[in-house]
Amino acid sequence: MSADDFLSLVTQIVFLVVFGDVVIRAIHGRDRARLDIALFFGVIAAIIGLSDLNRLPGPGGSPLLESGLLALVSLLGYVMVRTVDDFAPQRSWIMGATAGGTLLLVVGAFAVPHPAPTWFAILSVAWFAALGGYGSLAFARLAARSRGVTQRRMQAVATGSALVALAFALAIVGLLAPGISASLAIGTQLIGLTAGVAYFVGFSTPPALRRAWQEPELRRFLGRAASLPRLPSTAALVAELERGAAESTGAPSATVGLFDRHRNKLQYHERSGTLFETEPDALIGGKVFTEGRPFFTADARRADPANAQLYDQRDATAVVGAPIMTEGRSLGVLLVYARRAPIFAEDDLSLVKLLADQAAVVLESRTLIEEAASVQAREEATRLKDDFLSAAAHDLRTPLTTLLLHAELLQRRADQDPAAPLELQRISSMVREAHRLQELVTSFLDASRAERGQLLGHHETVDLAALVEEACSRVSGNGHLCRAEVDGPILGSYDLDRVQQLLDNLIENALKYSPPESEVLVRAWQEGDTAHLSVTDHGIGIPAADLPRLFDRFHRGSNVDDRRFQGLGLGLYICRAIVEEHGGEISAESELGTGSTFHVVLPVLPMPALDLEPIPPTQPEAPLVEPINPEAAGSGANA
Amino acid sequence: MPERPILVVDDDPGILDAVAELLRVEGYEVETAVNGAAALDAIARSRPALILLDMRMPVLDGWGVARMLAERGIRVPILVMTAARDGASWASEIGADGYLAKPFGIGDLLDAVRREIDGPPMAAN
Repeated sequence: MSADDFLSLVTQIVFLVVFGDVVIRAIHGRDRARLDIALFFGVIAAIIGLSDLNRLPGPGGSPLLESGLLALVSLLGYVMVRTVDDFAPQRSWIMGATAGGTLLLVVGAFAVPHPAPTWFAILSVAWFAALGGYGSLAFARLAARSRGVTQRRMQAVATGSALVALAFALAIVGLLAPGISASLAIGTQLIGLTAGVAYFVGFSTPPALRRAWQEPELRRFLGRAASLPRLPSTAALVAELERGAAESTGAPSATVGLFDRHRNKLQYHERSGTLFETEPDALIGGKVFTEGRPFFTADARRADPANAQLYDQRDATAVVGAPIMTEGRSLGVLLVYARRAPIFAEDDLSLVKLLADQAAVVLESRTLIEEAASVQAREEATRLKDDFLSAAAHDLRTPLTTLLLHAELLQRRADQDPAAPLELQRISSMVREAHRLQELVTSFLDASRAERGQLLGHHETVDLAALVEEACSRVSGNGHLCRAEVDGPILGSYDLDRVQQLLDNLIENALKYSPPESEVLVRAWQEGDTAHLSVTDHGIGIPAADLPRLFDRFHRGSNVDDRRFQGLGLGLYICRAIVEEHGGEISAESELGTGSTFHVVLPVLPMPALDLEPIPPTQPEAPLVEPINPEAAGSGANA
Repeated sequence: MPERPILVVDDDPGILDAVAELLRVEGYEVETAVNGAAALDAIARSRPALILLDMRMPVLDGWGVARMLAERGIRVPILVMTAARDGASWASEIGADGYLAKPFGIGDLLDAVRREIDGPPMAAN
């Protein structure tokens, strides 16, 4: 036996074995893709058989055999394009043109005289080579758009198609130049053999190879799983789970539905960022969730024709789903779906189950982490309250000390000499200290009101420009340098006392953190519908890192020496509350060592904050998942 | 009666006046300072017998005063007066001789001052 014959034999055996395998699979589960693949290899097997017959000595070269061979070669091209269509839908005109051309050539094969003219043989073979090339390109494009195991399978099929097209192109060369056909034979056989192997692993991937091809994505997903529970949001976590599931199965899309115990709903995170809710037993997700076991359907549209449009929108025809469960408690459901069933294989059901189990571990860890975080947040809140109490106690102690000393002194004097004259100066000191205590207590109460958003009382029409001038002259009277630049009147509806408090706080703050001789500038002006206030100092400034938290409760600048500047860290918190409850905004800009400017924007129209209209809630978008007819439980599909 | 004065240092004028006056009524010579820098001037001038020192003050705080005294090798007894929660540890931080937690009454103040000026009370017998 020559090498040529041996190769030829091996090639034929490979194609026949693949044919046998795909026929068994097609019988096992009869869907179009499997039948087309069986047909494809059936045609190849028939071509091999007929060529062998044709080569036999004796009555070989019969007209019927030759016509049959040519017809089969044309047919093979058509079946290949159908197979492409099974994996990725092709335009209808392409399908129509392919069918029409093939029909013409098949009829022609039996109509032409025997022996068939060379031009017709070349035409038939070229037809296949062209369709094979088209198929190869289509599968290569499909491979580029898919991932994981599907990508590798499509690459194999694209390679097989390219090789078959090449083999047939070589056959044309052989027909045109019979002299070199013998030297081309071995090459053609080798190409054919490789194509057979490529088709086999692509179309009829053995389970072991399929698992090996799924492994890199699966391994990557499992490797990432440990860090997933720490993602900032549940939506981000769900997106990662979905990506991992889609990549591991080689499917284009996956979706996770999470069960909300309190609302008794299944919730799906849409890519648009909205949340889609269903009853816990609705759609395929609901079926998998309530039944608590994996599920596959090759055609969701047939399963629930009423919602066929939804499936079309989602490109969801074949769906594999598995419940996400932990210790008998259902957390949700994982669905993996594709436009074409042959993407999936039987063992994908167990793979999706495995991924769902992994998702359960990730979600459970997340719940634990969230619980720990809420305990931590409670502890932090308690610590803040603690700090507040101790800061408050500290601030109350100073005036209390003076008050106590003066009061005890008065008492001693009165004990020693009941007729002694009243010490008015001492009494006025005591009254002053009592007022300080009163102010402190008021600011604690203000902070507590601000916390609840109940700082403002009666609104009235107020001229901001006049208020600014008054506030500035009050501190100037106390020997400080305050300059007011106003462009008024600026009329608005405000709580007069609170706006006064705001101005006093900002100006006092500016003076507190400035050198004794430096000037504070207060400006007020109006721009359209808004009033603007600014307070500028030339003090120590605020570090950039502190600016974002400047208006938080208890926050004090990191460059503020606690031992030098006493304070509760409540002043700016109350200022922000006053401004925001008026419907305005407060901000600060600063340069260390140069000074700071606080900027307040308030509405000028008579518009108390309470009159703001509520914003209507936005409607959720259409669901990402497909409804289901519960009777339509499909069987496994395979490619 | 000590010939050297007691120096009271506090940025809060209410406390400063009240404490100074109380001590004067008790017959002590008293000087006052509103911050650490003023305190150092007063110490250089009159070598007080005792300093009643607030900790949190502008310009120069209690820690600064203690550090400057140590650098200059001046040894004066110090009584820390503070409203802070951790006042006791601040007092030991600067090596003070005693600690008065605000708010304090006349009795607390005079007891502490007498202990520093006159030494610990003699045991009977």
